Amino acid sequence: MLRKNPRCRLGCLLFFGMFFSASSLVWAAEMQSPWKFVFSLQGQGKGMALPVALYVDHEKERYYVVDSTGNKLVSFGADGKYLQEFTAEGNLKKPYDMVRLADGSLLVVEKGRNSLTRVDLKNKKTVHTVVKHQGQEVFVDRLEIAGGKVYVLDRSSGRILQLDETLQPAKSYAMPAGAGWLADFKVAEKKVWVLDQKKKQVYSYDENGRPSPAIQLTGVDFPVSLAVDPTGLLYVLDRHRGAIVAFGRNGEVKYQFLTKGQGRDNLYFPQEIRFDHLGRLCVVDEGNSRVMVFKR
Amino acid sequence: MRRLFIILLIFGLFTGLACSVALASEVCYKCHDKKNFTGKFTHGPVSQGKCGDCHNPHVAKYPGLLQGEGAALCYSCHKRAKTEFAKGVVHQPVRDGKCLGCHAPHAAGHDGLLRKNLAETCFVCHQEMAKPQAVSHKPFAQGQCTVCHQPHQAKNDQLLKMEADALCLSCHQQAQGSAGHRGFPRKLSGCLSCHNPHGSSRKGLVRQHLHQPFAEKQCDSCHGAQHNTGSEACLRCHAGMKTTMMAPHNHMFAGTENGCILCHSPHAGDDKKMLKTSGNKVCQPCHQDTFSRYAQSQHRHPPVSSCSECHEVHGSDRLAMLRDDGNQVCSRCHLTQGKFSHPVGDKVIDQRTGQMMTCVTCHDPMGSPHRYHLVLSAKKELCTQCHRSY
Repeated sequence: MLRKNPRCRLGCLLFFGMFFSASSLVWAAEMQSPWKFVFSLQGQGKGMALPVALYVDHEKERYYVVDSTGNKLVSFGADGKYLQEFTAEGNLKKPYDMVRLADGSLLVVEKGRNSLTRVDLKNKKTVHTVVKHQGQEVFVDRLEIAGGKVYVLDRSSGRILQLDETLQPAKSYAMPAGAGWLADFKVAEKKVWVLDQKKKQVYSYDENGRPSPAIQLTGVDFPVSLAVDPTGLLYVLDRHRGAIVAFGRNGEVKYQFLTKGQGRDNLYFPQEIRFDHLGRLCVVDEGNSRVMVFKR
Repeated sequence: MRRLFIILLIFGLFTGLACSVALASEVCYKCHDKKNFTGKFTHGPVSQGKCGDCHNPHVAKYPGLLQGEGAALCYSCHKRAKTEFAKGVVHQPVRDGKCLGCHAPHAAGHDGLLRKNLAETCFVCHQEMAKPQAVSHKPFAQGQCTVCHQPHQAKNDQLLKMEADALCLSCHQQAQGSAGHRGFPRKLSGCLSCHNPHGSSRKGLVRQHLHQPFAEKQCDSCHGAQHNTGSEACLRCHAGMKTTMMAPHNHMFAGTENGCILCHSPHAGDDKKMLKTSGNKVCQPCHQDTFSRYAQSQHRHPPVSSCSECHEVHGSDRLAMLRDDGNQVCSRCHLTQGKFSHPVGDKVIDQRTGQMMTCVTCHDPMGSPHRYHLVLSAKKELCTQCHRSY
């Protein structure tokens, strides 16, 4: 029929042309990152030494950057403008992460003391708490707050602990048998999402501690942090490659962006990613002493 | 008539192609000595005279007039291998696409087209394994590495065919009730914690250095319900280590097991630190990407005996867990650097980061495509990163 009917032949050519164009567009949409650089958070004067964590205060619309080597917390406004530094009068010892509690006080992970340190800003009072779980000292690491509940990663036992008001464990999320070690976790969509650096897997648990099937990550060398996008993607930060890789919920790679280095589109030993109050993706770029903010 | 012509054309092409293949090897052997392409074991295409499967007789992009590069060429026929060899723990030459590191492409005297016998092939890279031991594991002494290890990839660390304990017990079923294991509270496990699977100076392949409580048979000092589990079990005695791990970057592993025993053997070890394996190998299973980059890089720092020469392996406040700042860690060996070269130190600030310039600002010792393992090309963009007016 094709040979006999030139119209049919033309129609077929047109159809295939459109099909391939559409396929190319779909492919390009999958492969291209939608993220555009907005601004960097950088300190004043000597700047930040080695920023290791970011806390976004959704209520006040502020960013707090934890500078571990500088032993300080640095705050920024919603527009990325530097606000102030906080050192607890020089008493912070290797801070590593922080959240703001409902009463306005700050809760800081101090690696140098292995403590959860509550900083009462109004009364200028600091209380150090060494957390214990089942009789053992908890090696406090990443910290999250969601729905008024505080969660901490225990690097010693490999568990996520939900803490009560006295900062003692009220609930524990144990990882599956044979899990590697945990690099980061986030609380999103009423689930606890945990990144296993060794196995390159993401585990998730509902509020009752029920696990979902693990998500296997491919195409990452040294995953250190994850962020959960309400649109259905998981973002994983690859520290050694200086890249962010976007995964579907089944672990399929959607796209990746940024590369290792010290330029504008580079990351150098980045440490954490998280979303801010506007759904922008923030990357704590430790080696470049900055936090980069990207919008869609 | 037209159909007949097409059939004849196809037949002619097919016959011509077949003849050309048959002739190919004969043409090649006019210059290339056929003796070099024959052996006890011959690669299929060579024995069939299909030189053109791998080589282009006229012109090619790759040395040896090869049709493709490295493993990509091999995988064009060994298609299943390409998929299989990407799974799990992958042997470094396989990961690097260096099939010819172990295999001869044309002919060899050994099965699997190995260049040398099995053990000798392994010892080309694993040189330290070749040292004679007072007591040797029988398969090892017989050069039968593949009794325990997979040569290409495996599900298990160290390319073991099975999980380590299961592998040991698959031959040593009698070990459970043996005199040395009397009192073992459960099914034997952690065999490699005490035994060196290749050889040792001690009877029973027990490793050279014994952990003091183990040597004194005081198992209770670490084991038992009254004791802590996880890393705490170690840190109760090794309190100094706990302090070093109280750093932003540390190797206090959050896993389901005691993180210390990822690197250290709790009972017996081959050195005083009781590391599970020697030198850099102890770091490799977790830092495979770094080891691969180092192996594949054209320019890199010369090998050092241990990663801990530059890195603080328990915990560090610095990037990449360096032992000291990016100048001090280098100038311990490079004594004159920093005194006459580009200014570095706390008075010289990298404009991009606000941090002090160090050796690692410009050099990446773990490997780079640029000379002197510079992070960028010195002829192009390296200097202009900061010196923008040049």
